[in-house]
Amino acid sequence: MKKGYTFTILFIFVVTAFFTSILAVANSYYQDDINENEALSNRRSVMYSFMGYYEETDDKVNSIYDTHVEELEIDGEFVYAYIENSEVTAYTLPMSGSGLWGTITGYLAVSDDLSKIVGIDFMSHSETPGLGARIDEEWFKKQFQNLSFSLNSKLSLINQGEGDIDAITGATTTSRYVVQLVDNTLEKYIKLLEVNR
Amino acid sequence: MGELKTVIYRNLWKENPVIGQILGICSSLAVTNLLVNTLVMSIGVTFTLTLSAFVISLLRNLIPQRIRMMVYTLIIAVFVILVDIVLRAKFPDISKALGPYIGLIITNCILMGRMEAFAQKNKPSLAMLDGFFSGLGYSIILMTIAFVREFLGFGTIFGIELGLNFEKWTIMVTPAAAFFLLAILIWIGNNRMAAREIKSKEEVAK
Repeated sequence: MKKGYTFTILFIFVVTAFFTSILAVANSYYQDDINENEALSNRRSVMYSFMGYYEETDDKVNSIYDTHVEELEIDGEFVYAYIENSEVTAYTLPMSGSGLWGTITGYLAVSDDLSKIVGIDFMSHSETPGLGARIDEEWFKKQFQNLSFSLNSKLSLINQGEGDIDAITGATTTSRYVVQLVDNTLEKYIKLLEVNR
Repeated sequence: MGELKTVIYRNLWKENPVIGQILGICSSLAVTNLLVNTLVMSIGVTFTLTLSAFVISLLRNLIPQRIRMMVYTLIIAVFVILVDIVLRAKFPDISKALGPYIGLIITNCILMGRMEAFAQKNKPSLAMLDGFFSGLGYSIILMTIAFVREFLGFGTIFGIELGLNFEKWTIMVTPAAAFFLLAILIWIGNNRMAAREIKSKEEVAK
């Protein structure tokens, strides 16, 4: 059966409209779930940077977050403050920067006197699974906890016994990017915090 | 029944999408280092193949020849995006692990290939089965690769620690290992198929 232009154009219009409307319905049906998941994983990550462990249940994440975490806006940048007995004990700074294969994002918590790193957590990255992706592992993130820093000297990987952070075997480049990312984040936010604390 | 048997035999073995037609290689290399991710990917591809084959076969007498490729892509994309939305809403961890690869099912040649070669010429029920078994053929190969990679690379099966104490093969977690494993599977497959062909020719000669 030979089909003319009118039919062809009409056909593609109808088919496209039909299928995209199915997608629109599905998307709006699940949108709340998707937003909630994203917000929740953000909250969980922010809290990990303060506390050093993940809260198990979703309800607990929300209740602790609501009572202890305050979102602050300083000069257009968002940071999170962890509040205990109505005093700030730590600040969490969002991190974002390049890794080996793509952008690494995450959260970095610093103590209220801005002298120590409290903790770190990664939200998204595209590092090599099994190698660079091991930045998600506990032992790697734990190395940052209680690490003193100053803006005058940069953090470094352990090399011949000297340095702050042990690199991941087989993923030195990723480790280097992470240290760089932490340094850049500190540089970006510490001055802001010192002035506006 | 004869038709169904050919469909199964062809898709799972003789023209297996991965080792017979060398299609879907990108995902066979990229998402096969953990069994859980591979399983979700396989389900996604099989689901998309089955349903888009069915829909395209239903519309096969309506789709104008000139724009058929556009229509296939549209329909495939709809099912892939549906999978993506459901994963993001219900299984955020897996969705995060698979990253862009779910979206890339749209451009997986297996799908376009089955639509063009089979779904547009056959009745819906058969097209659907063809899509399903084609997806199954793809899944079997991917799961085999993932099994070896996860076992040797991490010492686990579906993330469960086996408690075996051996040196983990770091190469197994990198895509390089998938190249080796895929090549071995293709080699075995082609060898068996060639052997069978020679045998059937000899039988004809007799």
